[in-house]
Amino acid sequence: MRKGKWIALLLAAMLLLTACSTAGKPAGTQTPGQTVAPPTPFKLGLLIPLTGVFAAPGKYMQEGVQLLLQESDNKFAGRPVEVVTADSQGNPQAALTQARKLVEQDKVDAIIGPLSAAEGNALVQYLDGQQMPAVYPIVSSDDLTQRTIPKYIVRTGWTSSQTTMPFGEYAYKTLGYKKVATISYDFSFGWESVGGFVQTFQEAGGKVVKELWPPLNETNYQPYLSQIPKDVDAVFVSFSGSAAIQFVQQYKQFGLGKPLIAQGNTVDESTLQATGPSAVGVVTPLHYSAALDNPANKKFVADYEKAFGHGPAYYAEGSYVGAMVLKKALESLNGKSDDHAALVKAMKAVNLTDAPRGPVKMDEYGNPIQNVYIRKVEDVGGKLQNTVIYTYPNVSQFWSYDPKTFLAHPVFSRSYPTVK
Amino acid sequence: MRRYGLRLSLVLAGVAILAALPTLGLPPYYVSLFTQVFILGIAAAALDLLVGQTGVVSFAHASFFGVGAYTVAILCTRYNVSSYVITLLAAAAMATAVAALFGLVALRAEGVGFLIITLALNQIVWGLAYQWVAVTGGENGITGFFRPPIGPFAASNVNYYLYALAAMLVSVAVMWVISHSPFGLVLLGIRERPRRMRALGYNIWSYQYAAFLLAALFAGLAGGLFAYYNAFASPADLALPLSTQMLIMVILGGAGTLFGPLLGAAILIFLSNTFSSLTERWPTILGIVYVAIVMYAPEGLLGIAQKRLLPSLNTWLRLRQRREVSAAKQSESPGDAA
Amino acid sequence: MEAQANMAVAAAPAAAESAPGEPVAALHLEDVKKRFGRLSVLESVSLTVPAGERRGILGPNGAGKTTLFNLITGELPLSGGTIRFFGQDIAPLSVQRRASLGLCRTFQTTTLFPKLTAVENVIVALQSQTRARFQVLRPRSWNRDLEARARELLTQAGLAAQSDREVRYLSHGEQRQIEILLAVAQKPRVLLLDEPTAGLAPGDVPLVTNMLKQLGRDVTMVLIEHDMSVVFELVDRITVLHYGRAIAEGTVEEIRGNALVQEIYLGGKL
Ligand SMILES: Nc1ncnc2c1ncn2[C@@H]1O[C@H](COP(=O)(O)OP(=O)(O)O)[C@@H](O)[C@H]1O
Ligand SMILES: [Mg+2]
Repeated sequence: MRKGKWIALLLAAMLLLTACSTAGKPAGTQTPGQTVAPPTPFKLGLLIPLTGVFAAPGKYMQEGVQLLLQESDNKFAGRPVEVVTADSQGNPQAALTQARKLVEQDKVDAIIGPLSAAEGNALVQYLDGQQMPAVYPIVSSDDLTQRTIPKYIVRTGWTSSQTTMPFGEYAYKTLGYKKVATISYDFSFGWESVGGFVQTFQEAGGKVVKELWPPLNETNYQPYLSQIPKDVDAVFVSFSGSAAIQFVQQYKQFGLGKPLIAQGNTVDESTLQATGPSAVGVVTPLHYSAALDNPANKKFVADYEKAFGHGPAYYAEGSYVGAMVLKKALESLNGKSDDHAALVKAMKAVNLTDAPRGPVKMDEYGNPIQNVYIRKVEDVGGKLQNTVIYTYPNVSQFWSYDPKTFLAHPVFSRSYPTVK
Repeated sequence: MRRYGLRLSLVLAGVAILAALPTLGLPPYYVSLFTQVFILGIAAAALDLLVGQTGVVSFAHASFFGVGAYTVAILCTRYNVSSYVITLLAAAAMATAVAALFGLVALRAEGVGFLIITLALNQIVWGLAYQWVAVTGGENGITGFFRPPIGPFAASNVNYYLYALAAMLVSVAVMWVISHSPFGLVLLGIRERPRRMRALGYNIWSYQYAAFLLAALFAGLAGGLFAYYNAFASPADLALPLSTQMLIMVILGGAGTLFGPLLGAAILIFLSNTFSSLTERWPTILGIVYVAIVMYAPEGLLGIAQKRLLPSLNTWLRLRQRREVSAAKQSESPGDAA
Repeated sequence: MEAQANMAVAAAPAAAESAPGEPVAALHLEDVKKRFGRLSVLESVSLTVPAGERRGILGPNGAGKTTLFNLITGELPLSGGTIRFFGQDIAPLSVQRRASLGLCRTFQTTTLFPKLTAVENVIVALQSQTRARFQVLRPRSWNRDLEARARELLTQAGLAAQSDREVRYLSHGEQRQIEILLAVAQKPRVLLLDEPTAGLAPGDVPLVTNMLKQLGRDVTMVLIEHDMSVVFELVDRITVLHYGRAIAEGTVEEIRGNALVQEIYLGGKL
């Protein structure tokens, strides 16, 4: 019992300590003040999931930013970069609390992050309210850069349907599939991936015979696989993380014998080796592949492997490019970051020609126009990779549609577009 | 009254300090953390009505919290309701209504059975929040609303901090009265000796049901406050991990102490937010802290404090009083002699 | 006085199926059976306790005495037979319904609220009889009358000095007294006492017996007890349970003189 008292005291002491140490911080950072000599550091808030279900991709995000900083000698436009990392836990509420900490406590100049759509969505209002420039390298929910556009958020990643709209056409015209069934995550990332695919696949003349939506925590996909009509030409899916590993493996075991095509995440490099041989032959679209054959990517992959002992995934390249956009914007402003609106504007004006993924430039809605690669999983010397088999150059989030007509339609969902 | 004298003065001093903190220069980030503590403290104290007072461990508490949050978010975004009173009352009412339904199902079982059923019910609500996009906005939740002004005051973070503090005080005061009411005594009796309570003619089920509803009512209110605080509602507001966290707050602070869970909420929120920026291993550290507390202070921190600190504080006060009294007597007596 | 009380009690509920002219019994058990799986604890017990009587139940350990109480109070479901309480078949009623009709009990092993004070223990029992039990938004310290009555009961039992101590710190004898006090506070019409002197030091036994003697004849009492002197001091009639059957019933003297009872239970001690 006496021990209990000590633990209680210890806890109280820890609380006080942490409160004091952090409470003292902002004063410390402000003191250098107006004196001329050394450039003030640029404080970069990195808001990523380091714990929870998204911890693994979160790590790739961290490494991507880290690599860019290494290559930049830890300086943006001559200003030393001070990274403050915060754990968003993959939870929108925690992400918001940590965003508050970065903005109000650590007084960062800009934020890179987060990962999931739910986190990203939860931050929009706060970041805009605080006029805090933010780079979203991964969050892909379509509408974030469509119907209502946040003022201070620049998306350097993609929209979920940006890749699958070209892919629907590709599946019909090039792969020659006429009848397809879909199985996907039952939430917006799944709906948008499938929605984009269905839209262009149907317009090209294809037929979607069945859409299946296993619930979020499903680990056994057999009951869904057995509902697929036997006469389909292929099955289109959208999963990520451990769900993707399980699905691809179970699909192979089930023995439907039909080609598997998917949203790019499903065979992302972060899970590809774990998925194993079942993934071979899967064809997917994405704005990046680690196997991309261009000098910038070759260097990126080599440096990445050297720095971290393993290859990059799209989460890493995405965050690397996100940081790069921020860096270029700062350079164009000669390192001045006080005017947040100007910084955002500069980020939206960045035009990258040498990103690992290829050329990147922003559309007026704040989403990249970039190549979409059609990739096929291949076993190259015992290692799986996403070999690029076709490139759709300079794809916008609206694909070939006029933005106005596109935006007049509802956001892709379970019920839109309707399956004909 | 005298029995509560010391405690009451400690509480009042605490409240005064909390109310003054923002003006004393509490950094904005801590203002928001404290706001979070007040709000989750309401929910945790309400859960304590069930766990500590009634002896019923529920994993469905987050679902009521979340229903409250969604109620506020929906009223704000779809119906443009700008009165806190209306939205928060609706939040509490909705949560209570859901609990009225859940209680009928869950309270058919006891002990572990009850625990499992509440766990399942919480999962159902969470699944619903994810899938019923037309109403809940799916995994993105509901955003796009702001805190309306608080009466004549602007809805600044500091004012909302004070508002949440006031809400916590009122809620906890009401819960204190409930726990010290004849009804509360029955709940205690049910926790300790259900068999005797039945033999005394009490309908245990209806008391547990009532406690379940009351806990949900305050959880719903807290959830509503939380929606305003975050300016969004999302499935995380009613996910199982939140239920677990609330239980940890109760156990950490001291089940059955009512004020303990407030302390538990403070510790959980401060530790998880400060540790998480120090190391990625913070969940492990927190886990070790919890286990240590459960092992070495099973009554929770406030339980320990009440048992160890309060009596010694009491005797210290009494001793001082006695000394003052005797000193006064001594100073009087020479005068008498003169 | 006593006769009046008896009549008032007997007249109260509608005498459902009793023979005309016969007063309604406080408790009437007919062919009551209880099995736990394959173990038959009560084979067939029939028993009638008229209102106002004090009845002793004797029987060796494991005879099923406590089980019989649990059947009467409804804690256990019957395997067969009927139980009438002042003429009413109470089989469909829950434990708490039976209790609120005035069918009250004490437990063989003390069942108090250990972390509540003696006064609070008694208040829990007292308020079960009043509307106070529904008060949610009112501190119970405002119910001065309840507290006063609780203190009065404790004082009558000679426990005034212990009133504000948590009962877990009280002596076993004091706890047994409070055990009875809780049932008495319920205003019982029938009081079932399960070995009220269990575990008491011989010197403490009168504490309990005196309390019971003070109860008026408006309370019908059924007493399970091993201590023969207590039984003979308190009860009017005795029923002997053996192997799940009531093998004998009679006045104290009759049971004392019953050869069968002497042989199988009392071991010729008397
Ligand atoms: N709930 C129960 N389940 C199974 N057996 C029981 C139960 N309650 C009592 N018994 C058994 O019934 C028998 C009678 O028990 P009890 O009524 O307590 O005896 P007594 O009170 O006469 O000593 C014992 O053999 C006991 O083990
Ligand atoms: Mg017994």
